[in-house]
Amino acid sequence: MKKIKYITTGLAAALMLTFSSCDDFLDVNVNPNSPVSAPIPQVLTNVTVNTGFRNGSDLHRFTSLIMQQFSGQAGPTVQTREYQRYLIQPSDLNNMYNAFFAVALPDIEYIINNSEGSPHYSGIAKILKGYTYAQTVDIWGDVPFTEALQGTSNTTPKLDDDAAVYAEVLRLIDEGIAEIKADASNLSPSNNETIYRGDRLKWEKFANTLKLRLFLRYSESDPAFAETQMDALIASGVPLMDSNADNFEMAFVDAASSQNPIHQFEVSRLNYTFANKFLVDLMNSKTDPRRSSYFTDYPYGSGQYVGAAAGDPESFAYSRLHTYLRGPLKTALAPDAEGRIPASTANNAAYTGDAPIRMLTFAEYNFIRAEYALRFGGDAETALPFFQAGIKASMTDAGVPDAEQQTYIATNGLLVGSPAQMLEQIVIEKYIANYGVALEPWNDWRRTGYPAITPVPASIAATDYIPRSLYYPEAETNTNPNIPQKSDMKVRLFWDTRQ
Amino acid sequence: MRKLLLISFALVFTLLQQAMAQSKTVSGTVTDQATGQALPGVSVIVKGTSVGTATAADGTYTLNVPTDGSTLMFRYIGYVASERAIGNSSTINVALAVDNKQLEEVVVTALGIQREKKDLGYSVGTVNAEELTIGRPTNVVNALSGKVAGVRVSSASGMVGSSSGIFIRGNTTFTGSNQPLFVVDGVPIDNGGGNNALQTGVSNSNRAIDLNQDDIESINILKGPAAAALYGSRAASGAVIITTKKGKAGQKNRVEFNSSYNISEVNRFPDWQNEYAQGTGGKFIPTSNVSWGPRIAGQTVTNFRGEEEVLTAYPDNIRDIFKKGSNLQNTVSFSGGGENASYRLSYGNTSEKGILENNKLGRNNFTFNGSASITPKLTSGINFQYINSTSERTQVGNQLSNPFFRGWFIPRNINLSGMPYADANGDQIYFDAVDNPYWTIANNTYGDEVNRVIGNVNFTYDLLPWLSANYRIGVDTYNQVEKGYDQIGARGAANVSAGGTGGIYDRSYLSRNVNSNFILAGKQQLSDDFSLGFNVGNEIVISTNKNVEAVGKTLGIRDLKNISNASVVTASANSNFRRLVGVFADATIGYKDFVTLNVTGRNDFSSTFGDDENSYFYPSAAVSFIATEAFPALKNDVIGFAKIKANYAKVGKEAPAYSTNTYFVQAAASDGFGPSIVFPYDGLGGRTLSNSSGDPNLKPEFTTSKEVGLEMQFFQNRLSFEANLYQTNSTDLIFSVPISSSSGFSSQTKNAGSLENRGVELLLNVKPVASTDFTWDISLNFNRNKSEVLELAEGVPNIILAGFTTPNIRLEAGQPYGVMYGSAFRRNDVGEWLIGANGLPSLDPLSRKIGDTNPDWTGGITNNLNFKGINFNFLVDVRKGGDVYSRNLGDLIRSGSVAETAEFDRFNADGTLATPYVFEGVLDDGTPNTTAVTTEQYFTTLHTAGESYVYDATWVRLREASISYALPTGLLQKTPFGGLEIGLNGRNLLMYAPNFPHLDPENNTLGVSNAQGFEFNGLPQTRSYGAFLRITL
Repeated sequence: MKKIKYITTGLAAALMLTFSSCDDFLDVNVNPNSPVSAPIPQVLTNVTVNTGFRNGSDLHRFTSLIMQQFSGQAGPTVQTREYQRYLIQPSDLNNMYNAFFAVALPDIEYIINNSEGSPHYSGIAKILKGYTYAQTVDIWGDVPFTEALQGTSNTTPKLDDDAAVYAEVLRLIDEGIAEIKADASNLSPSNNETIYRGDRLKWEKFANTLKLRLFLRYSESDPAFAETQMDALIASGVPLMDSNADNFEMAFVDAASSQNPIHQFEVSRLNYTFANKFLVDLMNSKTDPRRSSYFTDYPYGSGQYVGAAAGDPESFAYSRLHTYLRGPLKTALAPDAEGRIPASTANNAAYTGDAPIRMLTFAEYNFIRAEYALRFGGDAETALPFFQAGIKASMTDAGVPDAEQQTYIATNGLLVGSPAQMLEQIVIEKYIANYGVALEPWNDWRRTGYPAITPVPASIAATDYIPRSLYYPEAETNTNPNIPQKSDMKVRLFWDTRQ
Repeated sequence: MRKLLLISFALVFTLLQQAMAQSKTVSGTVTDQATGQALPGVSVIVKGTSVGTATAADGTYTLNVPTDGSTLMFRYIGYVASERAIGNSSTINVALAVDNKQLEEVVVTALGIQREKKDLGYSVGTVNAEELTIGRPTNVVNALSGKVAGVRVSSASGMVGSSSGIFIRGNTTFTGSNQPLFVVDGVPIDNGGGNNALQTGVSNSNRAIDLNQDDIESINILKGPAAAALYGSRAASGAVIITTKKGKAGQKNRVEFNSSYNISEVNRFPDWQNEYAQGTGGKFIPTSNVSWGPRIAGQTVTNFRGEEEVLTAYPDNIRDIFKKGSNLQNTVSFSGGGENASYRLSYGNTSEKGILENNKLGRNNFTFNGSASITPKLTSGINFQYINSTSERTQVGNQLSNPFFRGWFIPRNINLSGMPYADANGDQIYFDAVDNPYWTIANNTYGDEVNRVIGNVNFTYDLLPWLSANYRIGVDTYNQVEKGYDQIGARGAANVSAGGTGGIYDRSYLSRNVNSNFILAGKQQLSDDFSLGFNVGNEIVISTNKNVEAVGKTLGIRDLKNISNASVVTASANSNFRRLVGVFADATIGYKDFVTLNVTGRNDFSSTFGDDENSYFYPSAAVSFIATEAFPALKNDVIGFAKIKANYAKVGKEAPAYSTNTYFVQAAASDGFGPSIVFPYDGLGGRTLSNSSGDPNLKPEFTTSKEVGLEMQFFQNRLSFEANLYQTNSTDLIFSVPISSSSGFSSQTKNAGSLENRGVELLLNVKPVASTDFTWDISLNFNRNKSEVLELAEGVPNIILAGFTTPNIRLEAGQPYGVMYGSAFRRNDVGEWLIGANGLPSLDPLSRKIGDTNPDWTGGITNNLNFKGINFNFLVDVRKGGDVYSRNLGDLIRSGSVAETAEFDRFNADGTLATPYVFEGVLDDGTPNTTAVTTEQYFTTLHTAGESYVYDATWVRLREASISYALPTGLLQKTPFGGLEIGLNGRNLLMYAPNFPHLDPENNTLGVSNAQGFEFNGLPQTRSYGAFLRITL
């Protein structure tokens, strides 16, 4: 038994030595692949690239299909076909909600919280936070704000009232403007910021123009607020957009996995999307010269444009999305014998895919000013130059020669009729100009009722109304008891008061 | 740390040395009665005392006998115990006789501890070399199919090198690996790599495929936590303990040569129709990929190339894509042993050709096992294997470059082998928008090479006659180099999703596992009645893997398979490092010959947890009670043996590395539809906070198991059975739990949920005939396992393991593990289909549970007949129930390609479309549907719903069979041969699947995945048959 005692003692000693030094030996759980913190310039690059991507992805598909700019084809159960008939289910929205709350906003928040001494970074981040939150309100209405983005310390953030979030958005933009104008900043964005490449004056012009866009949102729900705010902003003489070079847009690159998401969707989802009959017919009726860059003609080479509508037979005998959204052609398209353009590898590879994703353009700025002039104290005469400037800015962006712009404006560039009719003319031109801009055509339709799109036929539609907001995503209502699902998509936002 | 360990071990040695001084002695040598060889490790005990020793490597012992000691007892596993009166002798030599019954039943348990099977309180399944090599599959995992109760093998497909999963008593974790730990000669090895991507790439290998089955002596399967508890963290799903062949001390030099050659071929082809051509609505459409066209009646049509041709059926147009494969395995080994050393040296070569062109696998195995007694107290051994393996494979999965994405239903009138697949430029020619099968097989290529070393050195030092110290340090390391090439113009994703611009994929993967193991093993006869065996030790595990890959897209030059050929190159790399220290103790207490209690405890320290949670303890206890020894009266002519066993065990499982923190990962953008941005973007780096949060408070996941069992033998062991009931519960499972994205994270890795498995295993052995000339052994095994996901996490109704929006395989609380969800038809309250005015059912917008992937039960029957040197062995493998989502079957039917779609004439006499089908169901007003529809409408509408693709996989198959003849030794006496055996063998020879038409139901597109029963455009299984030869010199 003595032996056993020795052994036990020795073993115990050995084990104790093992334990005491274990912690150092085991301290190897430091991830060599990814850091726990990141330099804010690298985070901002991700934010601006993702902002561009998000505005050409799910968000743009939903709103361009609802607003009948795009039409979904390629057979039953194809998502674009379902969305266009308002079958947008909570589970379809998981990815988009994630892109806002789990991808974009935490990175923006990180920049704001880690840019001590670098107001140029925090300023841009605050402007983008305002822009991004405003988009979430415009999609869902009430969204989490005060309790959101607190990580695992609060995994069930409550909803905040949408009007209150808008007020926070405006405050954030003002703070952001002040910060980007700071004289000194340890770090300043440059080429790593992929929208304006660090041009802070352009950020300031965008931020002020964004405020105009947001103030106009109150035109029905609180016109007095809209008027006083817009009056004051315009009178203050702050810089506003003054050319297409000021467009808030993200240019993409002609290289694999760097092309714009609208083009990439065309390549990876063959025949899912065509130009919508409503938009095509609208532009046909005005012989709009932008059609040749907006759409491919059908039959190819005919100069005719044919849109698809919900319920049309599965086919690709329609006009497709073209260079305005997909970038210039490197090689000629190869139509088939019937003049259709097959979604072939060669035809897809013909586009550079580097067209920008447009998010707030100089054209829209002009239409905002036109509507402001028309509504608040001005008249058709003060509105008209902005109206025409909006059309010209859009056409210039679409590569329309000046002579054709003049021809178009001569017949379509006048504001005529009652104020309501003039408003309709402004919003319809804005709708055409905002081809490729996510969300804004739907915002304008909810706000003004223009353009007066006809709901898809009841025999096809999944709902008997055009959605006024989208459902909360299934992943969110499953995991967050503080976000109850909406009864339907008729639930309106605070600024959507038009009956 | 390591230095400290060495110092502490040295300390232990020193203390022990001091305890060894003794004086008065009896000594002697213990030998084997039959061979005269010395027997090391025999326990020698003074009867009635706790005084005892064990014989040294040369069989000698020296023992200090108390004055009152009168008798010595000699016990040795596998031998009949012996007692000798001491009297005045100072030398007692003993020759022990082999106990034939027991010799078979010594098993290797956790950490290489050998124990008598009859004393075990838990279940261990054993497959020996002869059983293992019946069917001669390349992948050793496949050789376990149907052979052990409670062990289910699931093969991905019949492609060269494709993986096979092994599931022991169900699944114990949600999203982590459910594969058992593989151990070769005491060294845990990496059996990873067997998962396949759903929509890109080839069928991958699980890395146990590197082992040469001719080098394996036996495989012991430790079923679940009780048996494997000493392996700790990594053995929650059980362990597969592989012991390689070794030379034996005193064995004369021997050369053995094993050779086998097998032919492989597709084991089941669909029953195609050959009456109707491509097209829809009865009309010929040359670009259609479905067969709802006109009757093939010799009419002239314009084909997709614009040429006129006479419409003809080509019944073998799909069969011809396949060819006969082959599998040649040769192993030569040299073994032998002297008094103090033994060795075995072998070289094995496997050369396999697949059933598709450009598919092959070549493997070279070099092994060396040696052991030597350095001093009488110190023995050492080395086990070493070097493996070189290369393969070439074709694309699989739900992608257009898989030759069988639509290859199973190529319209009957396409003369595929009779037309060129490429033009002069090498661009493919095909009627459909997918890759031409011949073109993709020839052009979209993949190859890999693995170089691997598995080895260990080990030492055993006899500290005291009854106490030894064992140390083993082992390594398993391999490097896998892969190259994928996607041809310019490929229509599918192939290896890198280059969108037709051509792509190259270069990857180098390094895996290294180092394992250090120290065990102090002792054995004491405490008294006449009580014996004690114990093991105390520690284990250190260091796991590393490193991955470097480059993906190139947009190629400039066709067939230049170098990354420099790509205009856009994305490189990535990552590495992963883990350490684990375990300390453990194991004690086995025997009471007389009939009660054995085994208790173990292990404490692990894992680097994957934070400092506060990184230490965790778990115990196990197992007891066996041999009733027939306790109450000899129970023994009679009928009952020879009865044993009851029971055990309880708990095993902790570590987390994936780096799960305790949250990281900024490389930025990216994607939307689930294909569009994506890969960083660096335009030359800019980007970082984003991961959407998945870590958990600094992460703690181990635990699996507890309970088991009771009964083992009985009857009629002098002509009949025996074993029955086990088990239950395992896993709690605090570590997985990525979905959380509200509003928090900024969409998921958090944390502990949540619980999972239960309950099951019964039966094993029945019968010897209907046991005469000198003829023996017949039947072994039957059965397992029924029921699993239930008790809880996932708060607010988480389900987790999708794999698949699409519909269908998918998911975990759902209250359901068995891995249920299938998918689209289904609208039904009324009583479950009748709601049929529209057009006579067609329509889809319910919500997806429903459409299947359960778990089999009701599985079983195997092995028969071994021996008649005067002729051995006939066959294994029948049975699976009852369990659903498979078969995309291939659905495709074959919905496209009008198979016989049942031509059951009724598709046309009326006047040439209009016939309407022979009426959907069973009711209209909205409740009246039965009577609207007749065409065959095309019927089958295409039926297959708009995921539920129509679900089939019951029940099968009975002749999994393996061999017949061999060993020449009698008498005949060989005048030849140089010591032994000569020749035989025929086969695998997967016959199959009966009553509810699964056209194809073999054994198919897993995802390979070794927790999501089983998911077949998306799978490649077929094969049957193989051939001959083998075994020569001993």
